[in-house]
Amino acid sequence: MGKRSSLSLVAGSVALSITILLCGCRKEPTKPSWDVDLVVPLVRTTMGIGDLIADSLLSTDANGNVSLLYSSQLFALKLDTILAAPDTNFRYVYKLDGFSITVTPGVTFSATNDITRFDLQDLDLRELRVRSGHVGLEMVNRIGTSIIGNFQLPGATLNGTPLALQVIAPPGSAADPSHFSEQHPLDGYDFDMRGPLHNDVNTLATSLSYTSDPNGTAVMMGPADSLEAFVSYSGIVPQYARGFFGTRLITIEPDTTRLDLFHNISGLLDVDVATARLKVRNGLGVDARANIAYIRAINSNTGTVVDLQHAITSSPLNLDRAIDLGGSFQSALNAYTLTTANSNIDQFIENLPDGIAFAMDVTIDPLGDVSNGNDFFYYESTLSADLEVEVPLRLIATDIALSRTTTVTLPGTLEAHAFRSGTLHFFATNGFPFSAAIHLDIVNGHGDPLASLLPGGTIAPASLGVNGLVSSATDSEVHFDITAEQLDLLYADGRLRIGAIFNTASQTEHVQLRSDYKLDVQVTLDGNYMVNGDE
Amino acid sequence: MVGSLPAQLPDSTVVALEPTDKFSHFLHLEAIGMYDSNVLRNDLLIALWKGGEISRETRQRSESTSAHANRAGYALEATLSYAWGDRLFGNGRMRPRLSVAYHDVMGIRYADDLYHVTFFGNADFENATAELGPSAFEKIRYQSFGFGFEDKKSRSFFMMHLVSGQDINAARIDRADLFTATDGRYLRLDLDGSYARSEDDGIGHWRSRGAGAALSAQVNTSFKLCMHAMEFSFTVEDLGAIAWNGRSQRVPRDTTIRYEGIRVNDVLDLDGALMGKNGLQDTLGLGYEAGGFLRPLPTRSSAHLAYPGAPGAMTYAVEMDVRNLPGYLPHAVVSATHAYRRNMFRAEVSFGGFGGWRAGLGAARLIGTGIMIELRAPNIIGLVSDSARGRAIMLGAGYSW
Repeated sequence: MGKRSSLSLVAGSVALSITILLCGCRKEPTKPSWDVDLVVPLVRTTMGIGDLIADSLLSTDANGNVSLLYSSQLFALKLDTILAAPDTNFRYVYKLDGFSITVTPGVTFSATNDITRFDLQDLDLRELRVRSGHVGLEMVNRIGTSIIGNFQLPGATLNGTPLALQVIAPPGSAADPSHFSEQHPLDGYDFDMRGPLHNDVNTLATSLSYTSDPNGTAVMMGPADSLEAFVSYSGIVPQYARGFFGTRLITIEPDTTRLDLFHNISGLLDVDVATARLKVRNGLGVDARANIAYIRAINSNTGTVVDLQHAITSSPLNLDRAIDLGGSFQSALNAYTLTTANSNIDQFIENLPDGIAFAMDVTIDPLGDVSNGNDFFYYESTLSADLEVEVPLRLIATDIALSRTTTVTLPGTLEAHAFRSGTLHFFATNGFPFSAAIHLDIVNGHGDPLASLLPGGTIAPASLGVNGLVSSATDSEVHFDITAEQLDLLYADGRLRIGAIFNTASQTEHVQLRSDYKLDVQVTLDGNYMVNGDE
Repeated sequence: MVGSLPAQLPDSTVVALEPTDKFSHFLHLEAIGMYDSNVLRNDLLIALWKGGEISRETRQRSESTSAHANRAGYALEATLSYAWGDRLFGNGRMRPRLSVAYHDVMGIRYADDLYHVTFFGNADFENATAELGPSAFEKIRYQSFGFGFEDKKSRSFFMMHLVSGQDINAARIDRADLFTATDGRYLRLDLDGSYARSEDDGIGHWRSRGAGAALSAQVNTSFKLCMHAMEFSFTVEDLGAIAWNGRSQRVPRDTTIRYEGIRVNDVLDLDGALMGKNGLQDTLGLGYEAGGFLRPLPTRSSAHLAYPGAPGAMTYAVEMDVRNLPGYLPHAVVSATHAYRRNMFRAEVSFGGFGGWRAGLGAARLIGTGIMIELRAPNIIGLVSDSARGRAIMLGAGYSW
C-alpha cells in the first residue's frame, strides 16, 4: 500500500469515526420521554357573583345587595313593508286616428300633461321621500325618424331640482318598431303626492312630450304608426312618508323569544320579590292600540308554561304616537310596570323560563284621521316591545342546577399527550350562602355523557349569621379522578360538561346575595405526566 | 480531552515509534467521543440519547446505585494541529504550530433527590422536602483556532487561541429545597443558585454567540530518577474565557418561592393552567435577565510521567488530569505500553473524571515512514455492556514528512 493510499485510508477512517461520534445512532430527532408522578398546584381563582352571572345582568344597591336585571326584546315591527309603494307601470300612447301627417324635423308634438295616481289601497300619502328605487322609461317608435322623448316629474325633486329624463328612440316602423329604454335612480327624491294642485293624495304630476329628430328628414306618419311610452316605478323603499295611513289591523304572528338567563338551569327557585316592566316603543307617527293575547314563560326542560297575569294581557293598550322632529323622530315610550302585587311575575320568573312566547295584534289609527293627514313614518321607525325583569337576589334555591359544556383545549394529541391520568383536587373557600354539588362529565358532540369523573363532591355553603347574612366562609374539598381512558375520551372529543347544583343555606328563609360574597377555588393535580409527551 | 483519556497520546506515540528529527512537517488529528458517570448506567444514557420512552426500570437501575456525589458528563472533541519548518524567526530550535479544534463538553454533579424528582416526579416527596442541591451543570460548545510555536526537539509548545462560542448552558445550585405540600396545595422552593445561557435565537447551529481567547502549552522534559531515564510532561489546554454576547440570559436568585398555581379568571381556564415555560418562569420570579457575561473555558491540566523501558520492553506511565467542569474529579491513569515492530499495544487502569475505576486498551500502528494511526478504548467494559457506566473511544492519526 503506497503512502497516498494509506493516507486516504487513515483520513477516511477518521472522518467516518468522527461522523459516527458526532451524529450518534440517532436516525431522527425523537426526544426522550418518561413518566413522572407530579403533585402540583395548577390554578387558583376567586369568583364573585359577577363571575357566576354576567356583570351586565347585575346591579348593586348601596348596601351591597345584588339584583338581577335582564331585558329581552319581545318583538320589533318595521312598517316599511306594510306601507311600501308597490311597483307601478303606466303606458302613454300617441297615434293618429284615421289620417296621416308629415312629421318634419325638429317639431314637438303631443305633449302629455297628466297626473299619475298610485294605487296605494288605504294609504293616502301626501309626501314620500324615496330611500331607494327606480323609475324606468321605455319608448317604442313606429315612425320613420328618430324621436326624442322628454319625461318630467315636476313633483319629484332632488335638492329642489325636478326629475327630467330625455331618451332618443331610433327610427322604426309599424312592422319593425324601435325600442329604447332607460332606468333612473330615485334615491333621495322627494315626491309631492298632492298632485299639480296640491289638493290630492297618492298623485304625481307627469309631463311627456316628443320631438322629431332636428337633423332628420320629413317622414309621413299614418294611422298604423305610433309612439308608445312605458313609465315604471319599481323597488320603491320609502325613507319617509306622510299622510293618512288608514285604520288597519296588524297581526303580530305568535312567536317565542329565547331567554338565555335561565338556559340550562333547573330546580326550584323561590324569589322574594320581583319587578318587570313592559316597554312598548312606538316609532311610528300614528296612534295605535295593542291587544296582547298572552305573554307566557316557557320552560322547555320541564314543559311548564306560566301565563303572565296582569292588566296588560286582559285589556287593550293605547299607544301614543311618535313625534316628527323633521328629518328624525322621537319614539313614544309606553311603559307598564308589573310587580308581585299586581301580577304573577314571581311565578313567571320562578318557572325558570328559557323562552317567552307572545301573541298580539296592533291597530293603527284606531280613531281614524285624527292627525289630519299627518301620520308619518321613517325608514328607521319601529314598533317594539321589551320586557325588563328586575329580581333582587334574595331567594331560596333548591337543587338549582346549572351546567356548562366547554371544549377543553389540551396540549398534545390523542396519540401523544403528556398528562396521562391522575386526580384533580378542588379546594374551595366558599363565602356564598349556598352549597354547590359539582359534577364533571365527558360528553360527545351531541351532549351525550361518555364518562363521569368521580367521586366529585359538594362545596359546603358559608355559615349564616342571625341577620341572614354570611358570617364566615367554609372550606371544602372536591376530588375528581381521571383515568387514562377518560383522558383519551377528552382528547378524542374534547368536551367537558361542568354541572353544579346549588342549594341556599336556608331552605325556609330567603337569602340575600351580596356583592362582596366570593368563592376562592384552587385546583391541584396529583397525576402521571409524561415528560416530552406532548411532542 | 476529558474523561478517561490521557493527553497528547499521538505525539508521544509517534516519538516512541519513530524519531522525529527526520521530519519537518507534522500533521496530527485526534477525535474523542466519550461519556461517563459514576452512577448513570449506559442503558439510561443510551435511551436518553436515542430518544423515545424510557422505562421506569431503566431509570430505577441508575438510581438504585446512586451515591451522594453523583457525577456525569460527556465530551465530543476533535483537534487538528500542524507544525512545520526548521526554524522560527531565525531560531533553529523552534518551529511554528497551528491548530483548529471543536469542543462540545458537558459536566454535571447532582443530588440524589434531583435525580428522583427529574425521573420520577415529586409525588414521593408529598409533605416532605426534596433537596435538589447542591448541584451544578455546564454544557458548552465552542471552536478554537490556535497559533504558536513548538520546540523541535522536545515537542514542547505554546499556543494562543481565538475562541468562538456557539452555546452554553450552565447552572449552579448551592441550595434548592423543594417542599411539596399535601395534595400539591403549594410548592415552596428555597433556592440559592444561578443559571446562565447563551443567546436563545433558535437559529444557526454554528452561529457564534460569544468570543474569547485562550492559551495552551505543553512542557516535555526528561530526567533521571535513581539511574532510570524518566519522561515528564505538563500540559495546559484552553486556559481562557469566552465573553458571551449581550443577548445572553441569566437568572441569579437567592430566594424563597411559594407557588400555589397560576391565578386565572376562570377555574376552567386550562390555557392558563398549562402555560408555557416562559410564563411559569415569570410567575415564579425566575425570568431571565439579558446581558453579556464572561465565563472561563473548561480548562484541562494534566501531568504525565513515563518510565520508558529498554527497546522492546514495557513503558510504564502515570498521568493525572483535572478539568474545569462540574462533576469532573481528578483523573488518574496508570498505563503499560509495549512496542512490537511497527505496532504498539497499551493497557491502562484509570480512576476519576466523571466515572470510577475503568480499564482500557489501545493499539497504534506505524504505516510507511510517517503515518501513524491509533485507536484507544479507555473504558473497554463500557463499550460492550449496557449495565456498565461510561463509554469512550479515541481515534488518533499523525502524518509526518
